[in-house]
Amino acid sequence: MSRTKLDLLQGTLDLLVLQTLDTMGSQHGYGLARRIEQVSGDDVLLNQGTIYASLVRLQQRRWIVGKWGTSETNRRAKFYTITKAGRTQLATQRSYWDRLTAVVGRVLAPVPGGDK
Amino acid sequence: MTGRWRERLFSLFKKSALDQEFEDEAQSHIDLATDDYLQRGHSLTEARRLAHVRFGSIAGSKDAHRESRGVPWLERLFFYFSGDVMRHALQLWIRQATTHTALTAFLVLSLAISLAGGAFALSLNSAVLWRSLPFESARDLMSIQARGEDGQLRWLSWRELESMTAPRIEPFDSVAGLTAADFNALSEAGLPPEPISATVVSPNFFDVLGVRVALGGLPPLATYGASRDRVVLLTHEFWQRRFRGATDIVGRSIRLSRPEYLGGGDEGYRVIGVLTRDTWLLWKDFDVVLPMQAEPSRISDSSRGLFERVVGRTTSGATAASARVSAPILLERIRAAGSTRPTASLSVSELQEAVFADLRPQLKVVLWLAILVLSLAGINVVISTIAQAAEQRRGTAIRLAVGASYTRLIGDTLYQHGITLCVATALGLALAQWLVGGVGSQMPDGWLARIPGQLSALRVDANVVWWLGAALVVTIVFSCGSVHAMTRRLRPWSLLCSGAAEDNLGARTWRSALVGLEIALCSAVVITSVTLITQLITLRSVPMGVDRTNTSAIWINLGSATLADVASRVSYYDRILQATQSVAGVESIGGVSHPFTIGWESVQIRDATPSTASDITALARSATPGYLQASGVPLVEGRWFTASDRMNAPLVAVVSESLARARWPAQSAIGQTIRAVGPDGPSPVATVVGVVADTRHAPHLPPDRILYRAVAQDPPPWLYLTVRARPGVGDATQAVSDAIWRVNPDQPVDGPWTFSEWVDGRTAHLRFLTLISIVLGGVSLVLAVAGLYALTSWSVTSSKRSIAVRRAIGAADRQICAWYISQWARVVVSGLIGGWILQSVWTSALVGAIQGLQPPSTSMVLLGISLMAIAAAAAALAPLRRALAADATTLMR
Repeated sequence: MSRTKLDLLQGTLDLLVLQTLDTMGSQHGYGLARRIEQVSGDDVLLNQGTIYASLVRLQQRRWIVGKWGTSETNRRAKFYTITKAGRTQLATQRSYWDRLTAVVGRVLAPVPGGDK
Repeated sequence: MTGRWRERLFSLFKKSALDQEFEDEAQSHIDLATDDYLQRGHSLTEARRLAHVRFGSIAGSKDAHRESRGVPWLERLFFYFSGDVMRHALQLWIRQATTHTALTAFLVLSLAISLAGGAFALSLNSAVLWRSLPFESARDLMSIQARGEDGQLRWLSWRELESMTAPRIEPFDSVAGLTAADFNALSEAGLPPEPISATVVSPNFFDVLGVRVALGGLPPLATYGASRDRVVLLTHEFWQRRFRGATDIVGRSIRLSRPEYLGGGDEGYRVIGVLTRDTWLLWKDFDVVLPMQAEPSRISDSSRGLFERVVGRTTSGATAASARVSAPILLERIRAAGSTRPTASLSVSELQEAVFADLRPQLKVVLWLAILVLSLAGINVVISTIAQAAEQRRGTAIRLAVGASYTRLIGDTLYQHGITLCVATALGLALAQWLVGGVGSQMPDGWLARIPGQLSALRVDANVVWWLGAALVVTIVFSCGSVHAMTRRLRPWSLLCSGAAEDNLGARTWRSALVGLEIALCSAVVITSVTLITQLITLRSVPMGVDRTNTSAIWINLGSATLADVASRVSYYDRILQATQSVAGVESIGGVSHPFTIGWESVQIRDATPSTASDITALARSATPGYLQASGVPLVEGRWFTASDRMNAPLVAVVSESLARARWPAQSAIGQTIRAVGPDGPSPVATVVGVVADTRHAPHLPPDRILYRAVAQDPPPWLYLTVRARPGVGDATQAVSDAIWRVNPDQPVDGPWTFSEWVDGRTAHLRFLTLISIVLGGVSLVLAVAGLYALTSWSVTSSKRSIAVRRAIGAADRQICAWYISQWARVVVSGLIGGWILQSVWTSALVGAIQGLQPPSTSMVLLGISLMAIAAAAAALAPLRRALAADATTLMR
């Protein structure tokens, strides 16, 4: 049975980008997009172009910084790095996400004997 | 402001650089992705294709990038006001205008005409009702009006005015009185005698109204009351006109003659100043301002009315309501002053409200007519927009398919409307200027003189702009709302629908409702216009009781030299009449104290012998033997005055028919003896010797009850000389004036006025309202007919397929006609019924508020509705012919 791809919840792309940069270190936009797709097991429906809206948003908030450089394939690319403020924000958002998923999970969990 | 907002705002100013950076980054992304796919074994073409597919729409990502980094709505605003977009929009508008010339011209013209009508009507209201009076802190000025037991406004005496100011009554800081008076400027070296209008004022007057002088100073306090120090202030206009703006005017002495009720007297008055240009003291027609001066006996007499109008200035910020609270205290003070003429009531109201109280309902009519016309124009714009949007549905769907946002579509509509409205507004304002000049000049003189600034006050000011702006904004909102309603349901796949060009039921219902409303509004305007026109025609045909042919009047106000005693006054009138009777071209000449157009100066008629009959109020007039023939009033019974009715002869009187009927219903009036009871008490007994036909001072009122007395037995302080010229002579009044000046070179002569002018003047306000309603009614009729034409045309165009289907299954012309008429009638009949209801509500509010206006009769309503129905039928005729021309082959196109 084929599985339908998941639409990202609003705001979660920023969290995924921050997490990816924190884990992977400095990355360009394509690298980030690929990494998110790979980690999600290609379950996330992502137009790669949309990642740049997230990147500019995070840059304006000073959670990441961008700098033009050269890729391993000798291509000119802009590399993004998470800042200290970005890490703090990531911690906050991660904690929020954990609580939210726990609550949603609890609510959605099948009640024992509820299917009788 | 947070860092991110600062960044977002800054991004607006480096848009190109950021766009470029995104494009570089997107290109880099595609390149990296292509490399990746190549490494995975894809061909170069396939790798590039996959890289693009995975990236998604570059334009969409760019938009998302922009929205993320900037302030989208602000950016959009900047975008819409950028030169490129404006130029593009203008090009688009011109293209639309040349493609749909008739529609664009109709929109622009209908909007322009309605805006012009609206601007004129609004500027009239603004000049009179909305703009502050030209006084300092005008909102703090209150009008104080006292009424006698007969309900009439009464003048206040010096004592009564004083009683209101000391001690001070909260919230009034000070109170002042003023009176309009007829003075004469006597002849001086090189200057002829001239009747002038004066405003005579109380001591606090200049402080209360904040009136300033351009030259000289204000009258010192010591010049008021019983003072003999005669001083005068000139208006700027009088100074320029009579003294040619002489710079040495201050300190110069000029000769003036004051009216009898202010004590009379020809004296030299020292000019102490010149008022600023266009000074307006509740009326414009005045030449000089004088401090109130009278003999000590008049000043101390509590019953001697000297002040026609009383104005109070409240402390800053006090409301009219708080001023009204003090009315009972003011009334108590006035009563305590001890007048023998009791004051029954006293009212306090805002000065502006009091000054224009009688004009308010008439201006409301003008305003409502303007609002109706603006609504009609607005509805037409909305209807056209809906029709246009429906027509362009395929084009809109294509634009949506290629990625245009709904906001962009609405923005484009806004721009197109904005340009249309700008063109229409420019044209409308130019037309409004013409209307102000054309229609404004038809305004009754009585209105113009009372408007501060007169004709120049009729201008497009902030109030007018606000109202017109609000009307345009409402129109735009409704238009854009309609476009939004139509486009939000559109999807790119609408292109696939074969019936996309067909009208949908919702749009058709909505447009029909709008046209129905338009017909309702227009019917109301047309019925009002018909009512006004027919009533004006009726009123103008009402006989006033005088013969207007070749008849004019001039006014001579006597100076005190000729007023020394009654005998010399009679002798003076005799000499004048004798000198003027022989003037070439004069058929007959006579004098009367008040012309037939005046409805005031009344007395109570009482039987000389004790009787149970109650007093009857009648107008008191003094007339000369020649007046009856000169004015053309027919003699009904008995005789008119003769040369033998002198002071030493038995007192005689002549009554009008209506007075005779009311007083002696079952017997002849001839031989009856009466007394006339006026403000100075009962007159000596007079015998009625004649009955003359009725005259009326206003065509909508019943004939006046008039008591005539002989000028030689009761000489008035002035006389209106009625001059009937011989046929073919034209105006003989100039020759009469010359004859008067041969008797007395100092005698000012005012006029002339033709009887026709006077009669027309009585219906001037209705004529003006009729003119406005004809202009606005005509505009609304054109708008409604155009709206209906647009609806029926569109209805036929969008229903071509269904007409063709009917034809295909055998429908004849008759059936197509019936179908078409049922569509038309549904809208028109409901509109006409709505109009009739609207007009009933509207006229019931107006009747009674406007002098002489009667509710429309059934025939007038039917006439108005018929006119509207005929116009609606004419508008539907051409589309009907197109509907009949449709046949089954239409289905194949």
